[in-house]
Amino acid sequence: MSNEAPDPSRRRFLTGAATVVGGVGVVFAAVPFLGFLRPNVEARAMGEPVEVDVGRIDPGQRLTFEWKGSPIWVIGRSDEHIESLKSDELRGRLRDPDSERDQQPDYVDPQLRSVSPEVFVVIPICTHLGCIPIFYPEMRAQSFDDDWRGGHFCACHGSMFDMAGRVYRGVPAPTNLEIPPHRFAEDGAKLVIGEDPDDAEEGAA
Amino acid sequence: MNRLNASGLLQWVDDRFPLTSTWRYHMGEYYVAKNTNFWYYFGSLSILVLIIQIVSGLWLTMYYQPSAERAFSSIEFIMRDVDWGWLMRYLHTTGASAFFIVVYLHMFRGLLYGSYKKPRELLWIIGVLIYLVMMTEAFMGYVLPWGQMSYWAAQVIIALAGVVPVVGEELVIWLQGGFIVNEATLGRLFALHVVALPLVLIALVFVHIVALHHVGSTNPDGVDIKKNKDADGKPVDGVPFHPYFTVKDLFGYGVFLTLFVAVIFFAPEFGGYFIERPNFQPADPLQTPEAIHPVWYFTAWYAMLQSIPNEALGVIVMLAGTVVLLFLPWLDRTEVKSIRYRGLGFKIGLAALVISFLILTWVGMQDPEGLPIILGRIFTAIYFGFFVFLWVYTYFGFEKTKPVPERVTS
Amino acid sequence: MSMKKTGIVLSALLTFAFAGSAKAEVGMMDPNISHHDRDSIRKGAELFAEYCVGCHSVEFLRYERLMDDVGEDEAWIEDRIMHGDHDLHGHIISPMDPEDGENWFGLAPPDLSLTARVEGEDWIYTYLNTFYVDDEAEVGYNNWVQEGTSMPHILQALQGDQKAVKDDDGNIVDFEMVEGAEGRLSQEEYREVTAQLTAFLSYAAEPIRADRERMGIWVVLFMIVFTGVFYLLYKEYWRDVKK
Repeated sequence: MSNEAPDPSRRRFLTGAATVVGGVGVVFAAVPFLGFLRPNVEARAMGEPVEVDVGRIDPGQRLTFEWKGSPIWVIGRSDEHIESLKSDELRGRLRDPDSERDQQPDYVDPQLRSVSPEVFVVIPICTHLGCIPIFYPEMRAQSFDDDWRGGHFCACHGSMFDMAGRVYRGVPAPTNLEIPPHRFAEDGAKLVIGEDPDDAEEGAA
Repeated sequence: MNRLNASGLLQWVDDRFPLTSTWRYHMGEYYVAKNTNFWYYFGSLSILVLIIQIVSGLWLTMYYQPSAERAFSSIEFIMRDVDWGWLMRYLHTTGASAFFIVVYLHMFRGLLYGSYKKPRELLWIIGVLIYLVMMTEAFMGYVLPWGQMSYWAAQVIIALAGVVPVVGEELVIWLQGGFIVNEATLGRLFALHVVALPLVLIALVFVHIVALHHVGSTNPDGVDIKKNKDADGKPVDGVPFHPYFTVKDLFGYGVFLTLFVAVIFFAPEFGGYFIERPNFQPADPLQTPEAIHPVWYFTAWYAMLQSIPNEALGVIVMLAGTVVLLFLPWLDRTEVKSIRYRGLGFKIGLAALVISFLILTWVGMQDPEGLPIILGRIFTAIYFGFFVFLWVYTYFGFEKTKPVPERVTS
Repeated sequence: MSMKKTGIVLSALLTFAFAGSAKAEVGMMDPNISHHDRDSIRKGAELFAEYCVGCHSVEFLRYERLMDDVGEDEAWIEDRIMHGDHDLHGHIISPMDPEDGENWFGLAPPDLSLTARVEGEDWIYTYLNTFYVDDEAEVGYNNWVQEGTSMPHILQALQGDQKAVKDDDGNIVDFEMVEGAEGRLSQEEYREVTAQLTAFLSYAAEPIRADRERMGIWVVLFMIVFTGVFYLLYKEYWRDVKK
């Protein structure tokens, strides 16, 4: 039996303490419920690097692989392709010819956008609205472009990209196609998608 | 122009929605007797467990797959390959048992202090309906993991519908959606478990609380606190629900959750009572487990079923066990509510009822032979005997009650 | 301590499980393992990979999970656990075709992912320890836990042969080694090996268990603090209420 007068400061303190403990409890309790929504073990496994055999890929040839659930294209480029990618004529038609926007790892060549000039690795998802473009490797006039130097054409809204995934001016897509991290395993025939080269730091310099 | 401040905003809302008046009616000015004791924690605890079940169930539904092929493995996937999935699963399995524990104690409180008597008859009936829906919900949820016990429990329980005259056999096939329990059965139980019954349950709980706040909570003295009001019209023996019972119930939540998390983190199977061992074996329609019995919270009713040698009669007795509760307000004719002022006969009768329910719970877990069968029959008789006795005892005026005080005692 | 003594002590503890059973003379044996003992689990996994995975899968356990939980690296999992080319993320699946298993043993060897949760640790450990020579059995061995078992005594080279000692009623009361048929391991070493296998299977049945219990201590402590603070708050408010 207690009929003492209530102590306002004690009550305020206890209310504060209870609010803090209750708040901490709610935050703790939220952790599992939010954590549950993270990618599960199987989804995470898809984010692991994949090692693929690209062998001797021919110029103009395209191989499709999957990484993080998205398609990855590995494309062979001919000497003409490589020369054309560096030409002022093509560069003049591009929005970001020197890859200044961050759409590629910083160890790739800014113009060719790959670790090896002959083997181009790209995530073929149009930066406009996410369609997969159509691959036109031939360097000849197309219905959508009279002076086509090879590359990708998105049929959804007509965006055009060159053989290094760089976007043309005057199309809806805002940026170049994204290049995934990739490196060649020691013997050169194996390509590892999703992993930086061992000498990435030096390579970027 | 209105000044934009908290009271202005509140006024704006109140003109359009009864926010302040609802708060006052249900919390700030809802008066509860100040002498409520331990037994009065279990109503608010039931709401806490209901919320736990809804939230953990919602999360489980994100990965659970209701197909015969994938149900079992999707649960193991949740337990192993989804972050915190094991916790969601144990929250839900432990929550199911905790739900029955708090609800049984809540119902016992109702018996102790006459919570079913005038003017709370409807409140009591809604409560019994909640209990019936909860049992159905629990049974369906138990089938979903599609383990051996899940499967055979479904088989045995659904087969009970076969006792219906004439159409029984057809009814079982229709309920199962096949000649045996199969994927179609799983699909419909899943749909009912995650959508239909939770909606019904929430609606009934809402109505239960509306009815409660209309007639007011009981107290261990069975005194109507609204009869004694001070000059301001506030019950002298009551205190507002908020803040007094909010802080009290939050303390109750703390005690409950401490025990609850201890079970989840240290004994989620609870020795095979909350999750039964054979249920870690995938369902096999070709092989029955050595012993089938339901989870502990059903075993009292199951014992009644097994005690009666005639199947149809057994099913009727089992159903009567809960249905009889609906008539309790009219079987008990004594106006005195609380056990404190009731006759010795009621006290002994209630003790016998509780003991028989506990013994039947044990009996339902045993193999139906020998002693358990005999005990099952004796205590089934005692269980129903209580209700007969109660009517005779109170209708013919055998009960000698003590005078009920004017005010609540401390 | 002889198995008989162990059996008597344990059967006293476990009589509820075997009440009325004629087998009360030999009891279930306790492997005395802890799910916090990563070393036993690791050794058990190595033994499993050597002796068991030929027939039995652990279909819900992934190589990578096992590797992480016992604190090992990819070299270990590849050398000691995986036989052949497996996906690190994949489940531990036996190379045996279940149909072959059924043809060879009359019963496809069961998956062991959840055996520890269905049967218990004692059951697994006792099973592995109570194979005995039985000329009437098809495979030459019988088992005390599972009479007429169709599993051959795969660890015979380690344990050697033991025979059942029966009382006048034909109940098994003890086991003794067949002279000249001892295995590579001493009885004590064999018990340790089977306990490690049990530890692995127990881990495989619920990989989160050790973490769960470690975490649980903090959760319960927090809830005690929570309850304490709200108790004080409750008492503080209720000082207003005249009794």
